[in-house]
Amino acid sequence: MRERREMTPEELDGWLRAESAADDAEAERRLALLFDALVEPAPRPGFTARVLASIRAEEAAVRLARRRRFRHLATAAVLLSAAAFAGLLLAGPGGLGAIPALGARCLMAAGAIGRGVAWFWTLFATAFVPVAEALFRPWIFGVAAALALSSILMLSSLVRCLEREKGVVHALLPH
Amino acid sequence: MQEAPHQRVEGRVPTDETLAIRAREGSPEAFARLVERYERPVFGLIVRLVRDPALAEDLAQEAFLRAWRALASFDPERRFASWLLRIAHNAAIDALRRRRTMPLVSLVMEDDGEEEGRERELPDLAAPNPEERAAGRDLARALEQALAGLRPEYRAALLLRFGQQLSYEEIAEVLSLPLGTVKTFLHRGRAALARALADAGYRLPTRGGETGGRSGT
Repeated sequence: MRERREMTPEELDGWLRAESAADDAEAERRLALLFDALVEPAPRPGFTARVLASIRAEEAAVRLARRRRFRHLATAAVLLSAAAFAGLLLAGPGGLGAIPALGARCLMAAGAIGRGVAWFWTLFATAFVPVAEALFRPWIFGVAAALALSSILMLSSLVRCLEREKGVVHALLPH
Repeated sequence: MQEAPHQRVEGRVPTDETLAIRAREGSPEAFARLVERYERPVFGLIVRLVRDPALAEDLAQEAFLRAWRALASFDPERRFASWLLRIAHNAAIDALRRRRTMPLVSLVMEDDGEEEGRERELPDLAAPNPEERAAGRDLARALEQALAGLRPEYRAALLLRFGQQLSYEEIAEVLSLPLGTVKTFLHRGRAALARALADAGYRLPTRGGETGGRSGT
């Protein structure tokens, strides 16, 4: 901390003289001396701690917002995946025999879209989310990995289920 | 003990720029050291601009928070002090714009227990120490009040030049003004300060060699 120095009348006098003589360099030097003798105002004790506390509070709010975003994204992806699963099951010829042919075709198309969405989610969960989030918080990597694993398991069970329904997989594959 | 701002020497004491880089990489300790170094310069600049210590403290805190958020954009090739003071100045100017009429709060530190309104004495060059100190405090008070009466742009330029010892170029960067305008502000600010002191009784010396003490008693 700077030692406080008392201002003297001579210093003020010297500056005013330099100003009246239009001696810029001398006036600047002398005014700097006057400023040096001014009391340096200080914030209340504990200022640094208060700044750091506000930073910590803001970081916590950012983390919370990010977690919420991630949760919404995961929920949307799971719902889409479920829709894809349901679509594929319903679209199969043996899945729901009562559905008319046109309806079945629509459901098959929905199933194909759903399959794309499911694969996209799998790729997203396994590649993008862990890399992006692990940069910030390692524990998110674990959550993302669990989600990716569940997606893969879901897809593999879906494929097995479809394989049991003869012709469905073949019908959904592009020709 | 606080470290002095503008630490430029590499070695045991890291420079401001080094600390800023560490803080950017996620070190709260490095940022805490920067806050400790700059709490007085930042608070001093803001409080003399807004003239309200409580508001100034909030604004200083806000300035450091803004600096923390903006650390990613800090260029270590440039001087940290200028960058931070620019943020502090902007925070003060924003506050001044929000509150056009600021109540005038005295910034003179009343650490001597003197009662307000007491008639001030002429500075006496041969006075013993306590009187010299009292005269010095009177002069400081007069200078603070003269400074407080200046236009904010002149005040900011003078504070940055003579309070923070920034170069003309750095002041131009902090105030986001052309160099020529900064020089004009400083020149006019000095003249306005001298006039304000003259109005307060601390007149310009005459050719006869009178002192610049208060007249009219």
